Amino acid sequence: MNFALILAAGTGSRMGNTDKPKQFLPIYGKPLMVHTIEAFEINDEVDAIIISTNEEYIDDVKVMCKQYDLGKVKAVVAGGSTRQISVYNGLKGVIGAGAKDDDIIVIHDSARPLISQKIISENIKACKEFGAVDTVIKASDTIVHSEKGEKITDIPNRSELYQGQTPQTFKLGIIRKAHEAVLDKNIPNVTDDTKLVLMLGQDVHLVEGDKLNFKITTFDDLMMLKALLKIGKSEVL
Amino acid sequence: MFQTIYKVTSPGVLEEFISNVEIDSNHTLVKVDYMAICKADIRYFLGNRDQNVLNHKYPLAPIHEAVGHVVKDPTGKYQPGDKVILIPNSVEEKYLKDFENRRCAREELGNNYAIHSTFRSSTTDGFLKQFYSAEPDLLVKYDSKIPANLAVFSELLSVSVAALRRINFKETNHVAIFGDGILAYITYIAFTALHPETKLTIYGVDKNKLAMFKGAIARTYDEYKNEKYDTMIEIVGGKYSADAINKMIDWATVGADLILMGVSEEKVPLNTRLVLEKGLSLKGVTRSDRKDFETVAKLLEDKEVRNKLKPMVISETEIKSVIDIYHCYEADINNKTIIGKNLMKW
Repeated sequence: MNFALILAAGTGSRMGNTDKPKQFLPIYGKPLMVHTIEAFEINDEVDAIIISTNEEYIDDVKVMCKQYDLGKVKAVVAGGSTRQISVYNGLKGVIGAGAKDDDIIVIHDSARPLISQKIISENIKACKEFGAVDTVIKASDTIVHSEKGEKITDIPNRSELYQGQTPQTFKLGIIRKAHEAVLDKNIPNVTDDTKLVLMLGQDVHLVEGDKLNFKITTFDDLMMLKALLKIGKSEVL
Repeated sequence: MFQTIYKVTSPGVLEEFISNVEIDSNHTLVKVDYMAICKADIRYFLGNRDQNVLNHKYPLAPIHEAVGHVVKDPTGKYQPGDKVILIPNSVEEKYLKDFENRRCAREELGNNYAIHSTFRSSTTDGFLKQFYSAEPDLLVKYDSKIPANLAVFSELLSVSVAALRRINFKETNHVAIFGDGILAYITYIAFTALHPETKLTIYGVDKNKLAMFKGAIARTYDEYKNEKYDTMIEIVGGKYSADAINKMIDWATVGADLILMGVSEEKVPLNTRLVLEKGLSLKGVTRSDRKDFETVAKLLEDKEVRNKLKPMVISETEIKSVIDIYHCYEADINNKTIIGKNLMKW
């Protein structure tokens, strides 16, 4: 089976003056995260969805799932203080929903609503072959490395650099072991799941992402999303 | 949910737009499986229409020939996975009460001729997108065993079926089709499946194309044998319309019906003296109705129909970016010799 694990435990601290985390902000009359979840809800290859969110919003998210008829959502679990813990709790939710080690877990940020069906399908397809994949786009700007933020330490070769996005997709057995390994060492704050898998010594393959699959992190990102949507228009008849 | 859709913004230019797909309790959510490019799409793409008309159209998402499958249906009319034909034309009930639309109620015509009716890829955005939120009445279910790459020709078939509805078969012994292009071939398929008892002759100019009309009499215009026809269907269009329609007038029996399906941007001079002398009727057909699509869904179950559609699939391209769409347009624009289309799929 293919499970989607949607991470919706962010606080939206970089969004400016909003009383709710960014994933709950309304876009076209529905919360941002609902747009994201719908992309997985309607994907033929995704069998079930687990949402990891802030503990105080669990009930709100459950109501949302009913309101927007998100029938594939099998569990809404409490996230954690770090992304790593939110994912790990989400994985426990996935296991609780019946996932086995060979099943595929597509982990995606709820704040990336412009995820395309192609990226979801490519993730699942590549994960079946390689067991662990990361969605990336080629770095278009020169990346400057500065250790202390004062002067340039190094300018890495751009042709070897990519920007990471989500989804990051793994066989459950692999991502579960990766998380358990760092928790055993009492490391609670690795910000990227692929890094955990690499620490396990497992290869992670690349899947081509899309510039549009950007994350709504700041107020400017939200404005960018709204601007893109204004150029297009709603398809409601 | 958001998705990328593609619109023609000026002649030869397709651009990506982000749009919201409304998923609500009144609409059926469909994933589009296959799309085909129509001659009208090509005209809009190339800008081969009056500039004033184009200024009102752009930006416009093309494609009105498409099939898909149901992803979600809160209305309860369809099951997830049901394969459906997308109906591109619709009209709001309120317009049917208008005086000038009163004849739409006639069986042979239909509501889609109504003033203020909408047609996807012409008066409103078409189906060049991965997901389509549809009113359930604008979908027609077809047998899941029928390949979607053949069902994609349903809209064309429906127009042919609509044309055949205009024929008075009780008074018709011999029908002639003028034209050897895609719609002529599709009309031949519908005709031979629905009216096998009626004699059919096809006239065209390209012997290779005419060879595809198997089982029917297919001739070049030079091979005309002085026969007269009770009903003739013109599917030539463009600058050759005048020549074809005037031949039809010459070759018609007294009181014959001339059904016109070819689109011409220019006005067409006709031998009206002979139209009057013979008491001919000219009928225009471009639009099909829901009932025509339902007939098509049945027609597709006929193996012979499917076998005749198969050679029409020239190629299938999976659309990964706007570049793939350009390639399909280019392939269809440059195809002058084969009766068929370069299909697009997601």
